[in-house]
Amino acid sequence: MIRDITLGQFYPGSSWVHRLDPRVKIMVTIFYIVALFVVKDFLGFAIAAAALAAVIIISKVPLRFILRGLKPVFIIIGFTFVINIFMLDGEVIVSLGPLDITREGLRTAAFMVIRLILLIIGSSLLTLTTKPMNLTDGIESLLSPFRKIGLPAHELAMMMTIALRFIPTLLEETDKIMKAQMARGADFESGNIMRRARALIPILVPLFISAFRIAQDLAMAMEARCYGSGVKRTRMNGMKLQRRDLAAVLIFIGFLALIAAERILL
Amino acid sequence: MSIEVKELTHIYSEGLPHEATAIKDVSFRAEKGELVGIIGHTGSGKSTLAQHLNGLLKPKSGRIIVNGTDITAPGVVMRDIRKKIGFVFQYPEYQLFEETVAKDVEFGPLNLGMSEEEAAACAREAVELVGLDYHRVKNLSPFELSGGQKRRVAIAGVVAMKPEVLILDEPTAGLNPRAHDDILSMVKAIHGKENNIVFLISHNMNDIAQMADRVLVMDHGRLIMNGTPAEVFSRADEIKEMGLALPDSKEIAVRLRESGFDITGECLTMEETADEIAGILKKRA
Amino acid sequence: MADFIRVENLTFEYVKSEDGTRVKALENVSLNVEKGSFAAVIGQNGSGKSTLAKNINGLLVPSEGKVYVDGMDTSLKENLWEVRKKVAMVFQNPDNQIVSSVVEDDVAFGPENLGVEPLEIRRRVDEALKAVEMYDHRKKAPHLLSGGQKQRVAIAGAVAMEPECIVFDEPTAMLDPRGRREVMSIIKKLNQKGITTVLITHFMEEAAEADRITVLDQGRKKLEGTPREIFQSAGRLLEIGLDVPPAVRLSMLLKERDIKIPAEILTEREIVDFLKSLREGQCQ
Repeated sequence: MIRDITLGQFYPGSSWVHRLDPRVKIMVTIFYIVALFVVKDFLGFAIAAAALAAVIIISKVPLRFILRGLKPVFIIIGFTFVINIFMLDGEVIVSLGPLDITREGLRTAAFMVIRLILLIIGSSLLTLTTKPMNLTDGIESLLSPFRKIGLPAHELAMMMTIALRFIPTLLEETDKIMKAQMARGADFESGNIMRRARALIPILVPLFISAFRIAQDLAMAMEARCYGSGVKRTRMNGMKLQRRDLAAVLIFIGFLALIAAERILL
Repeated sequence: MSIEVKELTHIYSEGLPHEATAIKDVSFRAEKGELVGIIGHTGSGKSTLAQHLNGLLKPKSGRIIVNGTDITAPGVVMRDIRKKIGFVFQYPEYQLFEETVAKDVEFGPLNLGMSEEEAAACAREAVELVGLDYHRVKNLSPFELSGGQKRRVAIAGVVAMKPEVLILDEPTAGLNPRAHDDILSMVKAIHGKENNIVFLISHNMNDIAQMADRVLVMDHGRLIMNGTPAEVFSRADEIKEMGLALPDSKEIAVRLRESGFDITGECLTMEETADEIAGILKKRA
Repeated sequence: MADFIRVENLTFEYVKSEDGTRVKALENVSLNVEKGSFAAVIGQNGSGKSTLAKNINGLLVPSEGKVYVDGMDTSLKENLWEVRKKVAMVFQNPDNQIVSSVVEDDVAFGPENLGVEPLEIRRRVDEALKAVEMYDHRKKAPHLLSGGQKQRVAIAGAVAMEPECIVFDEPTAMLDPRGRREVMSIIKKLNQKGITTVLITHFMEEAAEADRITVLDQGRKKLEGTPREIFQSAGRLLEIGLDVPPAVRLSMLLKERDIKIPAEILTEREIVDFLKSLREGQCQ
């Protein structure tokens, strides 16, 4: 189940999309999402979907791989559809007891679902084509102007880097501790909720201690490597905008203009 | 009491691109009172094999029969298996979680359905068997103890379940020489008292040579050798080809033999090697 | 040659969190390490050997006494980062010292903290990864590597800072025999390139590779000398719970059997060669 979630996963590749500057990709994703909320009719969604389709094709990420990531959110999508379908007054098409399905409700529900699907695919495309480390760097760089007002941009990015690094380690650790406690007869699968919650203590306590030990060791190792020395940090892979980034921004502005024109003129 | 493994095969991540055979066609048998060493380098399948023995992993095919019961059969109650087969993982001190030593050691026995009194009695016995003073440590937090003591408490947590088969995965990993020797004597003491089957997984050939009645050698997921330490380590070339070492005493004996020394003994301990050398040199003199 | 590290009457005290008592982890320890040499520090758990390591690069500072690195007093704040630049450190747990989820980014971490130019970082990272034979794995995620490989990445992280000295705090304690061999061969190689090396360990075979050994017991210096000198006091090592290399143990046992083995014999090859010559002498 956990393995099926492609949201947040990276799909290795070297396509044009993969090579774009992470900052450009983050900003484009944000504005694409904004655009999705500006759009109000089918033509607009068609344009947005076509644009997304084009990016998917260029990125060479298999559609199947992307759709697999949608599976876990189907429930949310379904829920949104059902809620919306009944919520609006208007011309009744079908009556189900006290509930009426109206033409407007159906329309809004369909829009909501399309919007949600495009939003999820759009944002997962960002993580699918950007290495987590580069994403972190991008976020750090984009947030750095806010340092002036006290936002610890670098520290936030460092936290994300360390989290990314230690998630697999902690998962491994969890698996080991779980097996060890199972060997001591621990039972995680039967009983009511209270019992099951209590059964987690033998896992959570050692895991917490483990995490604490990692934090302590890591802090010392980072200090030994001169982290926090007060010297201005440099980066090995500094980000520099390339011509393709400019091209991407221009194309995207074109897309935004098209969306705006569609909204205002039609 | 006996444990029998028949044609055991396990495949990791079956059906996925990174599918890999972890163990293949492994068969052996161990009898009550035996101390069996398992050796092989990291990734040879020895840990995977051990995890099958108490049902933490399910085999792709093959059977494990403990005292006539097939523990790989569907519908087997895991608790019954865990009652019979104890497993001490590497760095077991990382599993401690209770407020006091006594409570932590009682965790296993209580899970097996023992009464509070029974569990406390088993815990007490186990803590003393691993060489700690029960009255002194029972109310201490396990986290206050030294590294070596923590490990003993963790091992006691499994010993208290009175397993008929005790599996120890690298029980001396990361310990310095004295603590290392202490843990080995402790394993001997437990084995002597309980007269159970002990499986000792280790990278340390000296320990295996001294402790084991029989040695299983794993390589690339297969059981390559199954014999007494003397038999296994006499196949020095094969052992080395697998990237494993010989016991130090054997290594020196082999080199001496290559230099023309007429060493015939097994040389599984340094004392034996010294005796052999002294015998040869004195015969001449 | 000049002493790169001078530890003078170092005492290190800390307050036990459980009962508030003061404990001396190190008491009046003195020790010099020559520039470019290979020093080993051996001792039991709790002998204070890790505390000593952390005092060498200013992660801890002495309660009493002084530690000088290349003439700089480590207890002075203004020297702190200069000291850490000169003395890098590799720790015991290979997992808990790697910061990044990409090998080469992790190796770059130290130089980045020092404000080194990006192109220069790239050069150092590539060179360091080649030195520890991990260049082919530079794009990998650390959690997919073996223990020995992870530890080599950590060593590369230290090397990329271009330190004059590396302190290894039990770098092989958590590794399997293969990992231990890999890491030891890298440590020796780096020392031969001129990096002053301090190896904290409880494996006697590893200590035997050093130029000098210091033996700690319960926070005090017990013995000091070349490996040959140290292992001649085999009895005292065993007394404080340490081991001796296999050849030394065999020598001791042979002595009990009235066969005299010269005290300088340390390795398996040496004892085999000696016994061989002894026997050939008899044959004639």
